[in-house]
Amino acid sequence: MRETLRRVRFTELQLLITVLLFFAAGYTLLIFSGQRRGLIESVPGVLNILWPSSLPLLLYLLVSAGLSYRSPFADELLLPLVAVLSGIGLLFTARASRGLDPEIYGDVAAKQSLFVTAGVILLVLMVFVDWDRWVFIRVFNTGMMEWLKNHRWTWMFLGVALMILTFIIGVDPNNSGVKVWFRLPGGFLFQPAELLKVILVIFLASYLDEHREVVSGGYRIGRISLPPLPYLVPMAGIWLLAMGLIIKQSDLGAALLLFGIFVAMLYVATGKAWYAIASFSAFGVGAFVMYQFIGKVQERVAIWLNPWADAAVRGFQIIQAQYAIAAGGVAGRGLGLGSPTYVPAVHTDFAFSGLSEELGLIGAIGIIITYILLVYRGYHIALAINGRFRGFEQLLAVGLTTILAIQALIIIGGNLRVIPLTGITMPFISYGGSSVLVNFIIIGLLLRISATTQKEKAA
Amino acid sequence: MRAALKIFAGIIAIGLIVYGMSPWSTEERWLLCLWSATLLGGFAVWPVRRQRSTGIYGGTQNLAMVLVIGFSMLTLQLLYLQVVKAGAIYSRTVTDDNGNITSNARPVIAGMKVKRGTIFDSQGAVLAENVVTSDDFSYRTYPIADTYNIEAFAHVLGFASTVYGLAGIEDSYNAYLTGERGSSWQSIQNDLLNHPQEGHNLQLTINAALQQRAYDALGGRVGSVVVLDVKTGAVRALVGYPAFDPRQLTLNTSADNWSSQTQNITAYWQSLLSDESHPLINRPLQGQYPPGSTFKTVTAVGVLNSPEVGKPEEISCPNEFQADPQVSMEFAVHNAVQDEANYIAAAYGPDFGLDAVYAYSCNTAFAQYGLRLQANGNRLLEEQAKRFHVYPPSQAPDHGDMTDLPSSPSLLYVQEDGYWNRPAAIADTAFGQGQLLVTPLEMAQVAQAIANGGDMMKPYLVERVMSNANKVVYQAQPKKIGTPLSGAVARRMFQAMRAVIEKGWPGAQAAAVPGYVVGGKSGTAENPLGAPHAWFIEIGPLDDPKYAVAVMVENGGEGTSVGGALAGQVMQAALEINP
Repeated sequence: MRETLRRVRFTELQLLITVLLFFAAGYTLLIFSGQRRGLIESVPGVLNILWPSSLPLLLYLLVSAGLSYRSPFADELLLPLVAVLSGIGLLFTARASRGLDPEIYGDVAAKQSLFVTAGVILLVLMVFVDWDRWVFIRVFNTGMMEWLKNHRWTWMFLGVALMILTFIIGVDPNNSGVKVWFRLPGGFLFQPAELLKVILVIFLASYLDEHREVVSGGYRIGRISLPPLPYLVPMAGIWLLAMGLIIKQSDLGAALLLFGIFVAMLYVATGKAWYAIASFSAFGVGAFVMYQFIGKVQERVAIWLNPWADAAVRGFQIIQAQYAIAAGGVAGRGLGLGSPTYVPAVHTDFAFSGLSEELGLIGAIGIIITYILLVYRGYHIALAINGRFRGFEQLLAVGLTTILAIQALIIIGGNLRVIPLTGITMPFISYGGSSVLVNFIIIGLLLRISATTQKEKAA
Repeated sequence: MRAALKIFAGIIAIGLIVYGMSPWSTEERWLLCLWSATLLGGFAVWPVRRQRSTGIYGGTQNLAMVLVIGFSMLTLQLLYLQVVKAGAIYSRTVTDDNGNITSNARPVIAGMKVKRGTIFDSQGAVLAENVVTSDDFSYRTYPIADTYNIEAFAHVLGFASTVYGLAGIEDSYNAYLTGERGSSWQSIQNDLLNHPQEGHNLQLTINAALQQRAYDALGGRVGSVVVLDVKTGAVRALVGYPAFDPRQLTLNTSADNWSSQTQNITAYWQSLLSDESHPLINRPLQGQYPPGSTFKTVTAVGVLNSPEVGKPEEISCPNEFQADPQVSMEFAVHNAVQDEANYIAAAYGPDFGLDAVYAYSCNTAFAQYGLRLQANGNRLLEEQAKRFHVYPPSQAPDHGDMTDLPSSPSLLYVQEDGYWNRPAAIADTAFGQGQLLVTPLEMAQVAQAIANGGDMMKPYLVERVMSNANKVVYQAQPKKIGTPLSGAVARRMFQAMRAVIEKGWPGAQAAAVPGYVVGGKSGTAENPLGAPHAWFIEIGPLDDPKYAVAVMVENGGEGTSVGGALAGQVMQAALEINP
């Protein structure tokens, strides 16, 4: 009996209930502010707003209960943090959908709810199904992690193939200027770049783990000493990839994201700060050269530095975002009471601006803190893995967490005009299926790693 | 050594942030400050480890540190955008090279959700009030338009347009009308509960009935009518023609077709702007005109205030008067009527004095008075004009005495190039020509000061501001702004002004009001634009003056007949409505 009670994840449950109460308050506000505006007249109207949003949040409780049964010692903070972020995403999408034309966007609130629900189900599948026992041991004779680790070249091939496929069959459904979507059967759109990040991390974790023991001083050309070849080659490769992204899509953000993940993992694997500094310098020089030649990059930088110069056309979006952020003040306008939908694409790229308007400085800092905590838990999971022979899993956990961290940094920085704006999603909050699903895959992997680690410790 | 460096870097980082957020910095510099401060601050807070941690453990710790520094930078930027510069960004408006204006829509929408206060006339008639439509939106309506012509009230009320902003009382009392000023516990509650803000109500000094009568009396002629309460300076009527229809600048938020309404508003606005008669100018306060002979009132007061210099009773009225012997007779002062002295002598006898030349408006006589007042280094005419608030350009204030609405100052002359030192200039100015530029309000104030026994009162339009609970938030207090003449001189002027209507040129009899004794002065102001401007100022009843009236009709013709008739009608209306 006592043993059973010990398995119940009280911390997680308690936090999840707090999160649920928080969102109950949020939705109450939303419904009342909507009623004042005559948008929701009836009980069905209220239910219409409530059911899509509350369903995935209630699912978290089931997941928690399941975890108590299956892997009671997996990280208890990860799920509540994800619940907060995805809940804010649902809440804000429901709020923004009022100001969005359903003719163009469809019912974004219901769709986002579907995505999150699918994400949670994906999480359940990853965490609860004993893939090792049922699939991997039987078919491949190894565990799942070993399998991921051993097929690094497959991953690399898959990644390259995805990129090439994007160039060939990519479509551009929302006139964003870049063809980075796949049209899947059933009318769904999928952004392969989201998956590419995870594949890159798996590949790098495996590759860098393999070459961690490289201790030789590398090559010397005259007085300059270069990193050893196993590091130099991927460095150059990723650098080329990043530059290619800038040329092909004029997208500094995607390039920065991939390159940032690589540099972070390289640094963690080797512990050599100067590799990171040298890599970033190379990136900086490359980006600067690209800036000289590519008009669209120049345009983005110019809008970043002074959006007011072309306020009516190219700077319009970022200026509307600035107005929204400024309108928030310290305490915010109140959920449902601001006007965030004046900002084009507020439910995707500019979700942070919209949230800043309605939740204010307090809420915006709260979101940033939630991301910091999420990253902290991710790294904590990585570092809790004991044994020097499990570097792959450590690097994998660090890499996956770093994806979320860098994405949050880049998109919030773009929203706040600290760096040029790029179209990257805000983890768990921005509207969008591919991004939500991939984020849940990341959390699923982290939970799995954590579950096995803690089981060993408990045993 | 390293610790000292870290402290130094930290101090510089904090300094950069403080400087970047301070008003002396600019937006571009802030970004540089933020980035430099992040790098320096990152170095300053970077943990010094005794034992170098190696492998994945140390690497991950350092990576986390970098990320936290990055998130801290974002937090600083949030602080900058949402607190330090929030107000400036929120209200920032830019116009690009193509003339596209980008501004924040939020204040406009917020403005449409404020229930602006009601504006009443002095009798409590509703001039303007807001009607609340759905979604807490409300818009301006003008109930007074059901009874009177809305254009009669346009220049006083102004407009509250979502497209073209504010004008008139709507603009100058906006803080009260929106409830920002004089706000109470109620408005804090509204703010917290997100209820629409309710503004305070204004009661004007204007009498709507009198305003309409004055507008009708003007009868579609371009010009101005001002009626002041003699004792307090309260403006009882203030009419300028042409005017506009504020209803056509207001967006009706209850109707769905906002965009087509906005188009109509834009079209109406453009038609107002392109109208060559400039209907948006509030003529009684902003129009500057030569006053013509009405200004002789100022000269006469100057003479009576200094009788030993001005010698009011020793005066002649020659046909021509040469102020400056070096200037040819062509530019000498002429009278409007040939042999005017004969007419005066016929009425007053050969030993006529100030009353007579004032009643018959003899230019040459007043040219002589003016030169006497300015002679021997005296500046008595200039002093007298200044006491009536007609100033030399270098001493003129930015605006007239009316501060409830935009108003122009009145000028004794225009060019500071020695013009005023010439005798001819003084002679011309003394009878109301020269370079004089005055507003109709100014001439009403001259009449008011005389009628009030010498005390000039500050003209005002807003009697009180009341909250919705009828609590008085602001109450106007009559304010004395000068004493341009003594009580004795004022009574002497009553006599002279009465003579204008009763003994002077027969045309001026049109200004008489049956059953009352009134006084006045006409003016026929020569101007380069065509026919002379017709002026008339009038006070009455003389046994206990209540009203001071000033009227002017642009290029209207004779001051005596045209101006006198108009002033008489307005004075009669005023005395009928509130005898």
